[in-house]
Amino acid sequence: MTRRWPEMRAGLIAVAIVLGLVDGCPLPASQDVPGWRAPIVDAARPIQRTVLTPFRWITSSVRFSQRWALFQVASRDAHRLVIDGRPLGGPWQRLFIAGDPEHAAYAEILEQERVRGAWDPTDRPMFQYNAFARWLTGRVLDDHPDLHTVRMRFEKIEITDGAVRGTGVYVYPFGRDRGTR
Amino acid sequence: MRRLWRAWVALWDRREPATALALIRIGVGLVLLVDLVNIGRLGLVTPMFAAPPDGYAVAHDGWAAALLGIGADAAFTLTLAAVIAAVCIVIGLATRVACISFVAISAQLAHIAPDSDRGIHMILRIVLVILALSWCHARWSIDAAVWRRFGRPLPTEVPAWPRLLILVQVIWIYFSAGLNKSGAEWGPLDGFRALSNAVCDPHIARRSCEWVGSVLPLAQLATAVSMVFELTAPLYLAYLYFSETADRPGRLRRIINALRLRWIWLALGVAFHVGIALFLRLGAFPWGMLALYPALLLMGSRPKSSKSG
Repeated sequence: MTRRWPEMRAGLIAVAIVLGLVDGCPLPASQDVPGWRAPIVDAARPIQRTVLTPFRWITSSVRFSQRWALFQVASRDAHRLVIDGRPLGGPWQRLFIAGDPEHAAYAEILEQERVRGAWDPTDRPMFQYNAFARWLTGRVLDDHPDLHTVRMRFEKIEITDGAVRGTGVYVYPFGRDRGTR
Repeated sequence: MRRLWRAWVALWDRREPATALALIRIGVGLVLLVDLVNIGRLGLVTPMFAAPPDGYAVAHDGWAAALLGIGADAAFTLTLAAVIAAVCIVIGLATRVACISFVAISAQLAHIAPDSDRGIHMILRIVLVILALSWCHARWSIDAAVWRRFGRPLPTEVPAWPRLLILVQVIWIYFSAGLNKSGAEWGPLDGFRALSNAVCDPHIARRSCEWVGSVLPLAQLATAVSMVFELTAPLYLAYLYFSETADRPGRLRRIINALRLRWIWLALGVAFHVGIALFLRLGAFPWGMLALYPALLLMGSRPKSSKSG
């Protein structure tokens, strides 16, 4: 056992590296593949799935993958979170707008990287967005007894060479009145 | 083929001082500890890790829910356990148990709060599994002090394979991240504007970005350089090899060593992460990656057979 251990270890490491490379192989979604590459991707995908199936329990229980998409999106079309509140029958008051120090209520919480993960949309809202919005609007109503309604939404923005321009188009709205769940 | 296999076996059988692994252990532990303490300081433990109505987490059906439930008490207990494990990792107390415990707890927290589990948390879970299999506690640790006290000091030279595996992992992370940056803003089609866009994104920008317009070419250059840095990451393995075998002949080896490409690539990596930390709010990511950089250095590892004493 001891004499063979270096060889066994080197073999295990080789297997781990190969599996990592198979897992990390960047196969795009079928609809994103241009014509001539589609058959290659279509052939590779089932191979990738088959090779990884016996090891899927490891990646799902420890929750990792070798396909890294760190800091992937930096598009000029982005979003800006806006939170407003209003008393019953009164006008909307701006509580928070991302990147605006004049309206920075809850900024310390909202800008925390792990919290941001629950609300910052990509091309769609995040998986936990509704639960997060329900929690946050509840907290805002608890903190501001004068408010009756709180709403969260995202303004679509365009970034051009150091200038951020709001488009006036809002998406993913979430509203909550006092006394509702 | 047999020669290649023997070289492969010899590579993973190398020994070296435990310094790099100990530095990674301490760095990773500190990054995780600060991350958790920051969540606690902001009063986010219950919101982030408890299911509604206390928080916004997912009611995940894992061992943590079976043992502790899905409410505020469970969130607090899990976080506290993670903090204790992170402290043990930093000070090197029951290090292997602490690493595995942290991975188990962190994986549960990732299921409970999937959107709050960032790339860096996945990376550090993988690294902790490797550290648990290593002798990272052979230096600068309570474990080492205790064993020394009992007259059975831990080895001064330890297997290098865990560090080499972390090195390969870091290289792959950069390369894979480069491959997956398919947006036009990362290339010439949108004028390499990714970084100038990112520092203006109100969700992650640390400060106002009015200055970007006046240094736009610099920001475009930085985008191009960061893509080159990521996509050429695998070449770092060649730079390391040429550096370690500098006494051998070969024009390519001589040129690469003379140009100090290894050090240039490393410096770019450090600048990349320091830049992120200065301009963007990306939490533990830049510090967590920098904590792995000791794995990228040549640590004087050598074949086991040439070990003296």
